[in-house]
Amino acid sequence: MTIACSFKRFVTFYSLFVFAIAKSVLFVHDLADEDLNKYTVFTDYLSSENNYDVTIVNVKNNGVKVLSDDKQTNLFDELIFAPFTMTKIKGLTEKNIMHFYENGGNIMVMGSPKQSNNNPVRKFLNNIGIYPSPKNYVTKDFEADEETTLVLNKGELFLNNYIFNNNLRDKTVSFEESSSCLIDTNEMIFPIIRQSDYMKNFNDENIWALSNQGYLAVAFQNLNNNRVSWIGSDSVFNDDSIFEQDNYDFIKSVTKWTFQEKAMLKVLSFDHYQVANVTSDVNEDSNSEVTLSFDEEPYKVKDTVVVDLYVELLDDVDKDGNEVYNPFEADDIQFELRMIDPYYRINLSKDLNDNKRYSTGKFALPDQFGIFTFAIKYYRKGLSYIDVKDIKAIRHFAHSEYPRSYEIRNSWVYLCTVGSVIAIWIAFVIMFITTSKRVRTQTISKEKKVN
Amino acid sequence: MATLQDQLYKSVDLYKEAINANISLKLIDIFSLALVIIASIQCIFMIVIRDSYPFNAFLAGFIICVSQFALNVSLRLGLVKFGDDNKYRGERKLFVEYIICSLVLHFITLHYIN
Repeated sequence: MTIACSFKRFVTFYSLFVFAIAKSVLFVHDLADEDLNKYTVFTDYLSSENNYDVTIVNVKNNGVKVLSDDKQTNLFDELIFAPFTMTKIKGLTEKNIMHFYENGGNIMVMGSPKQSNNNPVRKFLNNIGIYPSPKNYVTKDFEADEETTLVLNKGELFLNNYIFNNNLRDKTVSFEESSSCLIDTNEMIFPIIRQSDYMKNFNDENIWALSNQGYLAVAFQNLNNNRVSWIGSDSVFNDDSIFEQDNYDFIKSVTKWTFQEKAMLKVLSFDHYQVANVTSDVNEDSNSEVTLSFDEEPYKVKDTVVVDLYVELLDDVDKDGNEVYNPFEADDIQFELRMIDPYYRINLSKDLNDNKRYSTGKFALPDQFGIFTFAIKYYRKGLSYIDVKDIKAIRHFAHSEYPRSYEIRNSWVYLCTVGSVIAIWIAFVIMFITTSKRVRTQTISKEKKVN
Repeated sequence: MATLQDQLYKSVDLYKEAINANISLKLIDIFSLALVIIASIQCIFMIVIRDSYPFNAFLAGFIICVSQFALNVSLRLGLVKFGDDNKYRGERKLFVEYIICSLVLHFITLHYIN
């Protein structure tokens, strides 16, 4: 029994180990063989350059299984959907995709005007607030000569530098036969490329997305930092055009981002401590500062406190699975001290000596005791979310910690009056006794009654 | 018919007569007056600096004046004989009670001020 159990444990451990080394990617498509051959550069990129364990499944004839039987675990780490022309896929429903996503899988979706109107992937995208254009709706650029090829070379069209870095505004991406999507007002949707003002997604008379209301590539990240990306055209993945302009760079960036190998903020630690002044016994003038954690010395009102956040940015994961971390630069990380309402909001500033450390600097706790939450919430489009908090009690002064009345100059007046009242009273009593007449006491002698 | 002024003068004269006859009453009245002055000094101080910060200290200082005044008055009432009231009032007992009460008051005040 125990041997079997330990063997089972060993197997689970080993399988985890294997998964940790090679990410398993499932490429689901319903393409004909000759169409699938167009994706060799992309699949080679996945399997050779990134060392992913790529499985390619054609759902035209067979079904596909992405979840374990109890739907609690994913059988693959990541999913890539080629544009489906079928409407029903065996084993792959909208619910299954959602389960896969919520279990921690990341999904990359290729769009195309050829995509069927009613397929599970489209329904899944609609669920999270991304609405790709229906079948046969093509985006055209009325500024260009060749209308169906969208050459995206303007810097302002690229909306997210964390997903696709176009800081210098010199990158060009070209989409052929692209679809567009409309998006919800959800803050967890991050547009990557928008339509230019002269683009229109339409089919004859019917317009799906006009000028800058439509998006050609969109990403989504849920609160567990699992990611979805949707790219309007499958042409950028095709061997014919993948090396055109910066398409390959774009595909690599989006793939890395979607598979959580980029723009992930890693919180190394979040801590807070008290800074106390200690007067040394030898020399009373020299004050030295000591830091005390909450466990050593629980906070009380008006204590001086520092909150630190150590954070790193995951920039890349190389072929062998080694993570490359870089210092993260931001000036808008905000610390919040709250008890129902926020009492303080303090911007964290970067430590000049330690590029991982963000600190509030010293600040005094409010003059209010109670259970406070020390929290940092940092949600930015394209980055993984930081949401750390610590709930701690701030106590009030003990009665012996208030200043004595003789230390307060105002109260000297009152002390003097009390002293003078008592002094006058003593003088009064002495004078009263000396001046008063002797009170004669009558002694009543008891007479013995004799019968 | 006696005017109000006459009545007032008469009562002042009576008062002067009474305190001249009994030096203890004179002492008590002077002490009480001093207490009123001290209490008003504290109030004026607090109003002038517009801060009640060591409020417990103020309360201690003010309340000792008021309470001592009350004790003085009760002592005074015990000492004065009204009209035909000739009964023996136990003046020594009265004074001892006064002293004990005052000591308790001072003790409480000194504790309260800190």
